[in-house]
Amino acid sequence: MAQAAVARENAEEATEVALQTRIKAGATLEDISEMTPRYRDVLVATMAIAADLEIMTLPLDFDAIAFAPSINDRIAIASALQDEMGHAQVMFRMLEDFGFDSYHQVFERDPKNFKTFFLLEFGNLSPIDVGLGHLVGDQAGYITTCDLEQNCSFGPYSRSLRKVNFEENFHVKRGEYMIRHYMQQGPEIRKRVQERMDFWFPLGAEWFGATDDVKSRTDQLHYKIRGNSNDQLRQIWLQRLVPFCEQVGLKVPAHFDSEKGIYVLDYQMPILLNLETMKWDFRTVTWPEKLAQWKKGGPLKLPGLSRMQTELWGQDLW
Amino acid sequence: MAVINSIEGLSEADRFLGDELYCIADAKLVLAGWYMMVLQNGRSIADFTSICAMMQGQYGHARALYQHLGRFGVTLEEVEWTRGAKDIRSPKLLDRPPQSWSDFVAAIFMAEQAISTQLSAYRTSLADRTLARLADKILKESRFHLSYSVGWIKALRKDPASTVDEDARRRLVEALDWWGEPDQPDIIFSSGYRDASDSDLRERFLNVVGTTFDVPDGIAGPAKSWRPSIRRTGSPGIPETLFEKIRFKNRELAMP
Amino acid sequence: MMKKVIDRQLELGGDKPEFYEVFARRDSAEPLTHIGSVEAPNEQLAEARAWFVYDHHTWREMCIVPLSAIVTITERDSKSKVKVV
Repeated sequence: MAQAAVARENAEEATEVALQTRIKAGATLEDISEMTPRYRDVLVATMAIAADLEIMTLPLDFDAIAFAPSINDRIAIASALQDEMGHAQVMFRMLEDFGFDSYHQVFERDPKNFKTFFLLEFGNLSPIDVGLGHLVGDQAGYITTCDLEQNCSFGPYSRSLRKVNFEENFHVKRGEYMIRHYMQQGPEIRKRVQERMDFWFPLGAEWFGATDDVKSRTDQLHYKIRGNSNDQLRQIWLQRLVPFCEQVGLKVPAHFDSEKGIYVLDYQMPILLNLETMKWDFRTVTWPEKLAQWKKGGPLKLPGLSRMQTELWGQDLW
Repeated sequence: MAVINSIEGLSEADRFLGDELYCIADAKLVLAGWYMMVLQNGRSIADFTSICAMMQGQYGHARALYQHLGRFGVTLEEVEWTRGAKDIRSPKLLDRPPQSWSDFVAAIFMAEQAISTQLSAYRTSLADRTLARLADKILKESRFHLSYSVGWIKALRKDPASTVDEDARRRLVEALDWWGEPDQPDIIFSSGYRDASDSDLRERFLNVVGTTFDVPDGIAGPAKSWRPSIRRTGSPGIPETLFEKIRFKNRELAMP
Repeated sequence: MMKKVIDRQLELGGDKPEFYEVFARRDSAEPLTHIGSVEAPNEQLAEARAWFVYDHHTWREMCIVPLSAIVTITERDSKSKVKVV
C-alpha cells in the first residue's frame, strides 16, 4: 500500500514537473483539461482574488459618486466604476467555467470570506481620495494586471486582461490629472492632499503583499501565472509614483537609492495602521501581526459588502 | 425659482421652449440620481455595470441640454450650485422613491419612455437644427435604456405573483402628470419647435406604454393647476430628502 | 435591511445562468470578433447588458448569440464551450 502511494506521488510529481517545464518553455494553456490540480488551484485562487478586488470597488466608489462636486465628476467616477464592474463580470464569468457559482459568490457568500485588499477597505472621504485612489490604488492594480496579461500561462485569463488594462490605464491617468490639479489649488487644498497621501501611500506599498523573503505564493511564479515577484512589482509602482509625487510637491516615505539603483521605502515593511487615529505607525512589526490586521480588514469591508447583498427601498432611499 | 425670462429679446415661444428644455434636462438629472441611488440594489454584476452606464448616459444628456440652454441664459453654475430643491423641474413621477426592484423597473420604464417621447418631437425641428441633432443623438443613445427595462419587465412577469403590472399602473398615473390637459394652447408646437403637440405626445406615450403594459381606458387627466414652466401640477420642486441625496457636494474640489 | 434573494429561474433563466456570447467590430476593415459574454434571462436584457458592459469602443457592429446555440468543434470535451475572450 505504502509503495503504491509513493509511486502515485512520484507520478504526480512528474506530471507537475512536466507541466512546469512546458510552461517555462513558453506554452500557453487554453483549457482546464490541460491543468494539473495544483496548477488549477493556484490559478483559481489568483482569479478569485482578482474578482473579489473588482467587486469591492462597488461599495468603495459609491460614496465617491454621491459626493462628487459636479456632473462631470460624477460621470467620471461612475465611468470608472462601470469599468470595474465590467472587469468583475469577466472574472466571475471565467470562474464559472471552473465550477464557481457567481451568484453565490457575489450575493450569498459571507462578506467575511471575500478576499479583498486592505487598500480597498476604507471609505473615501472626499474627491481628493478619489484622485489618490486612482493614482495610488489603480496604479498598483494596473501594475499587477499588466504583469498577468504579459505573463499568465492561462491564455483566456491573459486575454481577458486586455480590456481591463486598456481601461485601468485611463483611471491612473485620471488620478494623475486630478492630483496635479489639486496640487495647484493653493496651500489649504495642497495640505489636504498631503494628509491623505500620508494615509494612502503605505496602503499602496503593501498592495503587493509580503516582501520576497517571506512571500508564500511562489507557485504563481513556477507556473507562470504571473511573471514578477511582489518586490519586483512594488519596485515598478515606486518607479512610477515617487517621481510623480516629487514633481507635484507631495512628500512620500520613499526615495531613489543611487547606490542600489532602485527606489526604496524610508521604513521597513511591515507596519501597522492605527485604526482609531487612521495614522500609520512606522515602527516595523512582524508579518503575522500585519497578516492579522489584513485579515481583520478595514472599516468599509463588511458593511460595504453587506450593503451590496441587501436591498434598500422607499424611505430608506430618500 | 430660476424662470427663464432674464434674457431680453426672447420671444414668448423661445421662453416656453427654454422652460420645456429645462424640464427635460432636469428630468434626466433626477433620473440619473435615481440610477445612482439604486445602483447598489442591482441584482447581478451586469446590473451594476448597466446602471452605472445609464447614470452616465442621463447625466451626459442633461449636461448637453443645459449647455444648449446657454442661449437662454442658463449657466452650469446655476444648474449645479445655486438651485435648491424647489427649483428642480423634474416630473412628479420621480419624486416618490422606488418601493421595490419591480417598482424601480416600472418607474424607469415610464421615465425613459416619457422623456424620449417628448424629445422625439424635436428631432425634425427646422426652427433649431442644433437642438434637432441633439435630440436625435440622445434618442439613439437611450435605446438600450429601454431594452434594459423591457428585459427586466419580461423577466419579472414570469412570476405569477409579480407586482410589476400594478407598479406600472401607479407609475403611469404619476407619469401622465408630465403632460397638461389635452387640447390646451401649445406655443412650442405652433411655433414649429416641436413637430407634435403636447396632447399628441401624451397619446404617443400612452401608445408606446401600451405595447408593454395594459393601459386602462379613461385614465385621469391632470388637475387644472398644471403649469407648463415646470410641467407639473401643484407646487414646484422635488422633495428635500431627494435633493439632498442627489445634489453636488465638495464644490471646491470640482475638476475643470 | 432586506437580503437580496435572487430567483434563479426568473432572473438567470434557469438554475445555471443563460449566457450570450458577444461579437463586435469597430470598423468595416476589422473582422467580427468575439469580445466577451453576458448572462441574462432574455434577449432584451442580454442586448442591453452587452451594450453597457462592452462599451470600451464605439462599435460599428455588435450582435449576441445564445451560448446554447453554439456547436463546438474543437472544444467538444471542454467545460467551456467558448472561452471568455
